[in-house]
Amino acid sequence: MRKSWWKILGVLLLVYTFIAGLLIEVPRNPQLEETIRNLFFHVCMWFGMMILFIVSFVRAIMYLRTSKPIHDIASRQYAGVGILFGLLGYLTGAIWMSYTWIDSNKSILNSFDTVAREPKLIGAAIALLVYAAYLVLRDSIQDIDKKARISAVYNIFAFAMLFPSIWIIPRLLDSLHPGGSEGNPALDPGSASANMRLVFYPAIAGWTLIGVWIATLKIRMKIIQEQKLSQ
Amino acid sequence: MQLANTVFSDKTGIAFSTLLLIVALDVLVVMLAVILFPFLWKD
Repeated sequence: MRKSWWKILGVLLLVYTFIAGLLIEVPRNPQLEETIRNLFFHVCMWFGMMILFIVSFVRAIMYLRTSKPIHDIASRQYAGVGILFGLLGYLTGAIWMSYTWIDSNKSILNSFDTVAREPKLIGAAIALLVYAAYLVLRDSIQDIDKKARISAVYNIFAFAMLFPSIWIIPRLLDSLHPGGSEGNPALDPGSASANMRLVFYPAIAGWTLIGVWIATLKIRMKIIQEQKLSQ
Repeated sequence: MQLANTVFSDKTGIAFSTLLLIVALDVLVVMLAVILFPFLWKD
């Protein structure tokens, strides 16, 4: 129980996020209206994803330094959960986009043509595909040591490409997505209302803790699997 | 041909910041490759 406090905290923070996030008073922006509440889900999931990828990257470096299999397993599982969060972030972003970017006077296909050129979407897709390739690469190598070494090296390259594709390149180009060249409105105290920040920051912590919890469970399952295989 | 060059001159130029970003990315990839290459062949 003493070691599980952060799991309980993660669940409580997410319960708070869902209740307060849907009920709290939000600023009335004619373009966004109630969709502004997506900040507590979409943006926070991407924050969680970034933190999970950072942990995966650090574990990959630790594997290369020590050659301990536990770091390889952890690196793989954190990357897997990071990809899951990325996909969920993409999904929540797509739902938000369908209410804010899609022109109701045009057909869906015509609007999609504009949306599909969005630099932030393309950058995020590249980043997620780079990490998806990490999973494919891992599974294509039979030798356990070689698999761990090559995937750790690839993980470091993938992480190095993550920042330019999500944070740097989309900000150099014109974009419909909030947080383009004018900075990130979610982190700017002048843009997000105090009410929203009351939910936003706990939501980041909640999503991240749940992500870490899922990853630790998967790590433990993988270790048990490996032990059974070696018996 | 001269006319075409004049018309497209501002469209074909690359912004200095973009060029800098591409060079920085290339340097990053090459540096990582140099650092990580020995780990691939470590026994």
